Amino acid sequence: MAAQVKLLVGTKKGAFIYSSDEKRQRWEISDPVLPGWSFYNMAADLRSDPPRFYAAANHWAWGRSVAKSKDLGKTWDYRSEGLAFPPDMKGAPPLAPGAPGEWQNTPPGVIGNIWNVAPGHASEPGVVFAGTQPAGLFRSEDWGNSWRPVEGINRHPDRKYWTGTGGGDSCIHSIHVDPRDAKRIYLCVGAGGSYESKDNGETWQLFSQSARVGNPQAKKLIAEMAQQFPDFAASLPPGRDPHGLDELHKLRLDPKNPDRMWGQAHWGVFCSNDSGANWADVTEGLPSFHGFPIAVTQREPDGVYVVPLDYGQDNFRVSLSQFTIYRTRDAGKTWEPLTNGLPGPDDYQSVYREGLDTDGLDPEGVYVGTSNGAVFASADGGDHWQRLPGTLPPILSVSAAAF
Amino acid sequence: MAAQVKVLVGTRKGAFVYSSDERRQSWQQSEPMLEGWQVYHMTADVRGNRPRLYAAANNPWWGRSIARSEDWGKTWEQRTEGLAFPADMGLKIETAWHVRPGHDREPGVVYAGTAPGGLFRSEDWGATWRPVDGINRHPLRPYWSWVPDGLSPLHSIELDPNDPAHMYVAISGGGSYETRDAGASWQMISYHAAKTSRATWQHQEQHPMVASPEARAFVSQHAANVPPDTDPAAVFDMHRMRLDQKDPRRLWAQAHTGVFHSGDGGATWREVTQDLPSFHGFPIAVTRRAPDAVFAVPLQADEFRVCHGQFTVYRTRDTGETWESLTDGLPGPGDYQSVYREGMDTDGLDPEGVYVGTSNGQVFASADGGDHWQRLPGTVPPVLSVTCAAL
Repeated sequence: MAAQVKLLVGTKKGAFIYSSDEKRQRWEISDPVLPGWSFYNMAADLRSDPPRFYAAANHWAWGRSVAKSKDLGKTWDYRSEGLAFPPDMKGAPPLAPGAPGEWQNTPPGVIGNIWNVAPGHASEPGVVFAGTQPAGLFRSEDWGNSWRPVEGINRHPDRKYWTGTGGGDSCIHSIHVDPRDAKRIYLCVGAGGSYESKDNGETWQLFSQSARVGNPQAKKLIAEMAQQFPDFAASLPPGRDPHGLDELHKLRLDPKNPDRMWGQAHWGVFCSNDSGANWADVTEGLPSFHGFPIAVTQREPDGVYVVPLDYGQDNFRVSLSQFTIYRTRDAGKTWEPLTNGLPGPDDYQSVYREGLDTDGLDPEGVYVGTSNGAVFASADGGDHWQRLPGTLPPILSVSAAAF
Repeated sequence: MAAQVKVLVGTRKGAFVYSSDERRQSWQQSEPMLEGWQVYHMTADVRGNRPRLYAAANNPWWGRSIARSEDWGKTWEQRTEGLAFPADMGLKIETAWHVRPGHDREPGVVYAGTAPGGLFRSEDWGATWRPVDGINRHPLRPYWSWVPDGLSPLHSIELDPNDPAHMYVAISGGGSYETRDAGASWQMISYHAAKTSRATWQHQEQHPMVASPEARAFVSQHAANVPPDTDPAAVFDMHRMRLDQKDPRRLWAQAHTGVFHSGDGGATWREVTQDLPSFHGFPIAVTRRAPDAVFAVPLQADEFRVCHGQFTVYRTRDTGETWESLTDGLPGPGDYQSVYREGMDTDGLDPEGVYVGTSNGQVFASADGGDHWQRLPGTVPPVLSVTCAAL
């Protein structure tokens, strides 16, 4: 049983750390960490004692960094040597005027924001990965102090087809290392597809194309879009299925059963039982196909969580009136709404892609942070929720660590 | 005494109307309206035979509009003919930012402010629009500099209740201007505010966070981009300017660099920040009836821009000599919300109601001039504007 539970909450204007014990009933909030910086993602590295914390910390004027703390968040070092594209590499070509995300084009070769930071395999202490925007993967072997680009993905021949997302240039998020095999790595390129390496990052293969949208609501909208933008299919790489999935908002590897992967996509929720070779659309039973985060229990019993957002033609993208998390315990066959302790009616919040996490304790804790700065915690797998103290700036990421 | 009080809340993803009676104790939230549209500002126009709502509504796919409703938001008309810069100016409206019913003696006249900075006028209740060339083609326009949250929006439009030809506008990063001839010619009035804010501005330049090369470049870009013989702070940034309806010689501004007051229509300004915890903030609100009171929401500092720990509205009743902190019913500790420039308003009732909406989608109301606050029901998307109408 863990002695301490920490909840790392990254916001648009600084980070906050909530602390509790294994009962997870009483929570204390820290002072803001690096006030004014945007924390796209945070992670605890349990391979060292005490754990190290990492933060993808970005500032619109001061720059971007992977910040690191060795003292549970009291002090942070945000030097990030080598976290840059090689001089000959100009990043993605600028998006054409009028293309989605064009207005946020970053200058050639410059990293706009760090999106993701992920500790490496248990057998490789010190190895850490960072995903950036424009899309780039970087690797550190010294606990995040210095970095090198992973050329195999950064110079992938598909790169020219990676387009911008709503938030600007393409990005790399959702970096997972197979717990059974340190050489096997999965990642997602926002609006570019999801890729797998079996050789420690030398070569990468697209694996999300076999996921095809099956839910009727999204199929209808995709058909309408195809009519509206007839050139879309032509913008894909040769041989690419225009109906295959090129954008997962968040990918999770099930640590209990690493052959199983989960994805919340723009167009639905997907599950694969064979490491991404085949996918099933398991959206049926949810009120909307659309959403950003997805979380999976780290221990039995299995539970998978999503936050469906309204997706009318006018892009409302909120949890409608009653804030609701959905849970499946049968691999997506059925979904149940969880609302006990969550706010409503008259509630219109949403959750970003890193805004949902589990803690691996027994019973499993589940945590969600909203675009409106509220954090909700459940210490019983989602049956009951409590609001943690405070209202924070818009929450970009929530990461739980029990140790 | 009004029978109905409406609080119009514009958010980043639609709008909501809260309704109450003149006691303002029990509030009802409407269904969402204009879902998915960024509603930068909303106002009610009570000059006609029935109340009209206007909304400065923007959508990344469908464009920008001044939306109009005659049934409290159930249905909207969004065609906005003529809301465009003349072709020869080479400017495209990115955002409809502010909408303001015209003078009581000119029913049907409505003004709209846009980004890039532009003023537009309608004479048919918002159906068709024409640019106000006097300000849009102002000789100082080349110096209206880029600001991070838009393209030098024209965000404040203030009318003299005694004279329809007398108006003020404020442009973020472009200065504040006055016309006495119904918009034909405009004079900058923020030169004098610059003098008093110079010390704050220099203090900011020396801040250790401003040591990075990127930040230096940003600051020097601003400093270089000012008219000849003008203090950089003159054009830098008023975030919101208000004219005191009770005494139209009095102007109030929350600027990037402080809170300012003018008692002579903008000819001279005084910085009244000394008693506040921070010079920085966005909205400012003034009571519409006596007793006088002015409200501001100071944010922690330029680089954090939140209320730090305890959400607090500040009030002055002596023209900025002293400020008192109002917290009764407002959240904290552990609270880090902020308020955008249109996020606070007063209702003109007796006692005066004050309303504030936060970046986190919470709306707070006081029915006694700020002494006590209650949170209105619900959490809405980030609040861009709060406007009151008492009918």
